[in-house]
Amino acid sequence: MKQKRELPLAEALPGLCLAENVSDGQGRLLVPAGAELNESLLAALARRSIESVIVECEVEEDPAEREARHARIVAEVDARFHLAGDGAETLLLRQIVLDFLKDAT
Amino acid sequence: MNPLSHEQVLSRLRQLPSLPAAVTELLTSFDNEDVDIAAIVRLISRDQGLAARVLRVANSSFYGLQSKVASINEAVVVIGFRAVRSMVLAVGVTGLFKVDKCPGFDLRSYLRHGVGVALVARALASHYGRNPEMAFTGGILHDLGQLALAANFPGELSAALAYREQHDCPLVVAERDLLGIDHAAIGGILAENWSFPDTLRAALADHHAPAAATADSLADLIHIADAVSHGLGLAACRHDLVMPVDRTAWQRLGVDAAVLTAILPQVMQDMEETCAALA
Repeated sequence: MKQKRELPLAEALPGLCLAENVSDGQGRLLVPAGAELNESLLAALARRSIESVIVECEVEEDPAEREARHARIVAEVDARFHLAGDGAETLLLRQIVLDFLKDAT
Repeated sequence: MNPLSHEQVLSRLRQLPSLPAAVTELLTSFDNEDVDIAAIVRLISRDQGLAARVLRVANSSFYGLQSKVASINEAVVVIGFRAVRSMVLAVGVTGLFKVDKCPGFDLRSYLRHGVGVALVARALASHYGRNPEMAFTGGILHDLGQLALAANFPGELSAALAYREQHDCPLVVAERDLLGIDHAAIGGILAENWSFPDTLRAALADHHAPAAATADSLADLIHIADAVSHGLGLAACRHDLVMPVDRTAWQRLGVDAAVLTAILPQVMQDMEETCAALA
């Protein structure tokens, strides 16, 4: 499962992906979310006095926790679909939404 | 509660202020190949309230501009005519309604839902050969009839909101049961009064019954986007409820699971910032 983690810039390594935009003190966008960090990007961020970045990282999720998270998502999706009937298109949409939300962090 | 007659609705909606000239001009520009951008920029700039709101959005963190834009002209140069057009249509139309006198009406959820539908509709439009910016505008405006109800018939909408609560039904059903007219029909009346292009009018009037609209209108797209947005819970309220998905709309658009799955991450990523910018 992917999780967001805030890292001090010194601990951010090339190859990691940004989970959130990096902006400067005035709110100007420096690097967008999704960008992969590399040496020159990290050096540029250091020059701009960026102290930390929020990156994506893979973490092993505890099976019991995952189970509980999935059950919560199913309950929420079921509540939102409880008036939607059982047409084939509706059920397909429900499944797509469910799969997406289970995978998303 | 007495049902609202068509005449009653019409006469009240006729008293609404006319659309800002810039909005009217921009609405026709979708179908126009050679748009006079300079003239439209002048129209927006002359409308101080509108121009100020557009500049606030352009300078929000959503666009992440390196330096602030100070004029509409500059905004068009930096973020492009199409983005400015979507923005003006969103803030120019929504801003006409004062909705603070309708107990139970949750403006924040309304705006979030509009943004959610707009983002999904825009993403689907690019896959299905529709105009993405028009789809975005259709998404923002599709429930405009609710806003018109909240502003002009606050007591009636308030009663419909309570009825929805009591009967666990979608708002559109509560409106029909209680008022004899729903927000889609009212949106259609508004769109007609304001001479919206027909494709856009259908987004407001037919999003709950898209099969009644023509296949080239926005009704199919907005209907599906409405369901996706509710399914994801983008309005973040407990009335984020999916209604049965219309088979005709699904088939005419040619929706497939792979495309739907593919667009969701970008929609989620853009959601909060777009809300912060527009809402």
